[in-house]
Amino acid sequence: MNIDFKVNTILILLIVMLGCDEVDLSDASRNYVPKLVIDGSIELDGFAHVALTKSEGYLENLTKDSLVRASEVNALVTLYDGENSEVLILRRNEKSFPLFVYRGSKIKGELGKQYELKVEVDGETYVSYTSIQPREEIDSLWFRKENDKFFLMGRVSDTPDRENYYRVFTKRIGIDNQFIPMYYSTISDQFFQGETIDFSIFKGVESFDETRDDGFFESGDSVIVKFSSLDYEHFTFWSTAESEIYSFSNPFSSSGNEVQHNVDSKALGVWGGYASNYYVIVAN
Amino acid sequence: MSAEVILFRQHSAVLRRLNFYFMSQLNVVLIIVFFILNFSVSAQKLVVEVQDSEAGFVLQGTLVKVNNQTGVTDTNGKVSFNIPSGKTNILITRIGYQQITDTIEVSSDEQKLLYKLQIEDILIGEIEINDDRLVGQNSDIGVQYISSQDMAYAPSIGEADVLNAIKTNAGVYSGGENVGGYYVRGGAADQNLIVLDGATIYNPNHLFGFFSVFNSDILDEVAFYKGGFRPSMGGRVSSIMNIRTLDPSLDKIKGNIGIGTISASASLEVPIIKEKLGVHLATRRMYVDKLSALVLPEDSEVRNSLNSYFFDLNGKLVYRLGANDKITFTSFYGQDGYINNGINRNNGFTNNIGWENQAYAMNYYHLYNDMVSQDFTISRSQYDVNFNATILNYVLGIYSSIDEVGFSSRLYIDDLLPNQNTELSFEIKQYQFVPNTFDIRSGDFELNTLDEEKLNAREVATSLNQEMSIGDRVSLNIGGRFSWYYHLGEHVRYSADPSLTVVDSVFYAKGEKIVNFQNLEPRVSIRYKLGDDSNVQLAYDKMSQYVHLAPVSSVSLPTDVWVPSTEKIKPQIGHQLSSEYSIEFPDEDFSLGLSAYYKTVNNVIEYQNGILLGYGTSGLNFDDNFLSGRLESKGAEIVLRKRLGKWSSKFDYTLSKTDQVFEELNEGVSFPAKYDSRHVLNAQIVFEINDRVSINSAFSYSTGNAITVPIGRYIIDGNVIGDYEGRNNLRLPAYHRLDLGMRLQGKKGGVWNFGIYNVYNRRNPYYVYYDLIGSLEELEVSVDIIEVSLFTIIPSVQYEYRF
Repeated sequence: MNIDFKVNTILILLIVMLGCDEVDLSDASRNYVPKLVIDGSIELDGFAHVALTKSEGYLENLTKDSLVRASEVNALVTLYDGENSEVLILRRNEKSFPLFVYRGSKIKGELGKQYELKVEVDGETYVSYTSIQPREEIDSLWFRKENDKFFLMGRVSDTPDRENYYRVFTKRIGIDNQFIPMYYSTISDQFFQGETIDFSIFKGVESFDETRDDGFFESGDSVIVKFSSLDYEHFTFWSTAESEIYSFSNPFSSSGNEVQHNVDSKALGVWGGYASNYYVIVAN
Repeated sequence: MSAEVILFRQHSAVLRRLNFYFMSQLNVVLIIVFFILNFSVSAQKLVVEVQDSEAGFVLQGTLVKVNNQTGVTDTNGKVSFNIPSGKTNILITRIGYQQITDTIEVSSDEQKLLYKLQIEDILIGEIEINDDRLVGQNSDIGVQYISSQDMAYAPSIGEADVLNAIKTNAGVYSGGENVGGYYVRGGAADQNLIVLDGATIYNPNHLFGFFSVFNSDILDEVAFYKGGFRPSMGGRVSSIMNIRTLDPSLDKIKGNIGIGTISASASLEVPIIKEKLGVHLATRRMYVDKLSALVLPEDSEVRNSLNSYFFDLNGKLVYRLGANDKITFTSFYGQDGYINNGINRNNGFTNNIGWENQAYAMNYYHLYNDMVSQDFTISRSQYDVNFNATILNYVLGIYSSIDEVGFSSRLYIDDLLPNQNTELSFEIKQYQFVPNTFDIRSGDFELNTLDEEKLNAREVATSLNQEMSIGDRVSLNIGGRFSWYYHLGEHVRYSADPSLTVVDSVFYAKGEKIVNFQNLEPRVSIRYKLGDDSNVQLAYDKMSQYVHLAPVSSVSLPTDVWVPSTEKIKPQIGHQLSSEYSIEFPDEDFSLGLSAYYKTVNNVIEYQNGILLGYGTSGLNFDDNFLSGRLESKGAEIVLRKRLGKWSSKFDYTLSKTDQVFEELNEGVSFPAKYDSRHVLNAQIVFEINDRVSINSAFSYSTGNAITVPIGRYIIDGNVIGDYEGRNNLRLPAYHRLDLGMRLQGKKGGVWNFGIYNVYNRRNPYYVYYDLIGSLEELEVSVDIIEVSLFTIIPSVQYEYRF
């Protein structure tokens, strides 16, 4: 019996079968169909501003050309507050990306109102909604000093008998260009309904390309804290988006995080209303 | 005692315990069995009994081969065969004993033979790789026995390990790097039942999976099933590993000491009353924590902040009441700890994870007469995990546990009917689960997370199996298992609106039935002898599983949570059809096994969102975040053994495809399971230089795991966020690794093991992620794919001494 022949045949077959199974992601990335991305907000007593961009294949490098291409400048953007409507006007953005932003100049955010955002572009219509919730207050803010670092702490007394969703931002006067959401910036009162709680305010970063440092403040920092109320859908977007941002690339993180967008289901992104209070504190 | 009387008595005993519904099911099974009986043809019967030559106790689980039939001795040390008359070859092998070969003449209708095995001085060191254990050639169709050689030559970092040996078998996938669970025929890690002397082990891993909790010094028999399951065993849908620990020596003190690069072990067998009562103790300790204290400087940050260890203790007490009765008590305790006191203390982050396995079992074996025996088991298993993290004034604690108390009994009747053995079983398990319980504090304020919830459940099962020979060529195992499951109060079920405000709640009192499930699980396997050297076999199994391990993260971790079936989480139901062809040429030291299977499992679970209730989650009940889906796996396996002079080789290859469908995921479209590995190859070659020195090598290859990565991206408020399309849409590069080992056996019982893990230092990717380099401000960002790997080349040395 020629067993050796059999064994060799099987081994050769095995070797041939091996190594022909890899899936390449670059094709998937190249064939990715871009979607409209909405990044819009309206503040209490403020005008709406909406940035429109397009998503891209993940492996595509970001260049000047691609970032220009990614900006959506041909849309008709209409804001409706249930009584009046306004077409938002395209303006140059102060930030480098996105290059342009649609801004309102007539309708200001009012407490308790719902705002419809309609975006018409390339023959498609995208409709999204948000609301402005009652403004809430921080009881007190203080710094705790340890090892030359300043930990910023806050205390809030939650309004009872109402679900509250908060988002916290900081801005160092003379250093930061804008309000930066703190690390894991959303807070739900689900676990402290109607009670008083102390919480840490970790300094966030302005953009993904900045190294995330330890989240603490330096001696002498003058910090403006922005404490905003938002509705449930708006809160859910930021809490799921931040889960994705902070846990991305970590295999030990919770599985199956999916960003829950609060805009039209054909698009990605957020359309959110804020009612904010502002506080200033100096680290020393 | 006539067969009818025994059947009547057992039937009555079983019926006393069971309700009317089960009676009708049992009767259906019995009717089928009797129907098949009419076609039985008698042959000569040979009963082989095996005993220890010194102490005289029976040796259960000994492999006996009669011509081309292979069987394993039962609790009485006996195994029977139906063979044609004439010259018959007998081969008896058992771990730790000298092999016996014999040739006899079979003439009468029934012949009984008694063999007494002598203890072998050195347990491991034989170079043969299973060349007398062909796939499926055992009395249990579909069972594989893991030998000490399998363990000794399986790839490992340090000591021999039974899980590493199992992971080299065809049909079993290690998940690439030997970390965490194992995956049998496409099944998930929680679908493997692991039983130690009758007690369930809920987490078989130490140290995130680098070691198993099973100390190889105490293992007597390891039976592994991936199909052709015995009806007396169930509760998981993919595999069963039944481990029996070694009885202590009842006549003299024996021991073993092992010292390796990262762990040490010791075991001791002490007879307390000669030939009557003995105890076996074994312990292991991993001492990376102690080593780092010796090696690293006192002010080293790693030494002072990172710590990891494991410890386990096994004990077994055996009391022989007489020739017909034996009582054993087994205990197992294992503990793992990982402590991070803040590698960079300034960031204020500390973290520790600890998990504990406990298992206790009391077994009583009784022999009524030559043909009837019964065993009784009372067991308790506990598994708990503690996770703690602090970031400044935030403290997060997560605790989860499972506690199982069980009673079971199995009754074996040889020759109840001509050429047939019968097994009846009954078991009851009471569970208490504590799914993730959170303790979250911010300074002095404790957040109002839901109170610790204790979930109670009960599982009851009874089974009947009939093992029979039909003529000279056909062996048949036919039977079934009937299982009931109850989720019991005390419990509150909440209804909430989308913003998680309670709108209604239902309270269930203590012991009140919340939901129940029941399943009839038929199991049939048939083996047909094609010729003197070859067999073909077919098996169908239905399995039900009422407890589930919820994967907290995308990799298998000790922090994964055991949960019961509830109104929302339905039991997993598996169906498997498998076939096997095996051929052996003893003269040429060659054997080949070819298998194919098709398996489906309904109601496999996944977490939908985060594990912390209320943070992006969809409800207030612990099970609101689970999704249930369907798994489908098909595959072919090749097992090849060949020996040539001083060379022995073993090849296990699996070709398989495993997909999952969840209505709520991936738009309801089927996607590959994470551990769907198209090709898995494990090859081992051993070269015996002389009686005392051998060199072994092991090579593993597997298709990379499927992981989920975004294919698109968008930028919001300066953050780059991934847009996902399709689950498990990227294949990691293939995994491959070569290990080398050398075993030197001293003259006086000492053995040196030298090993090199990952000889050519392959950087096998464990996961990949994207890195974005550049700046949005500068309008220039490039994307890199970063591959992260775990183990580079690792040398190891271990010294083992037996006395």
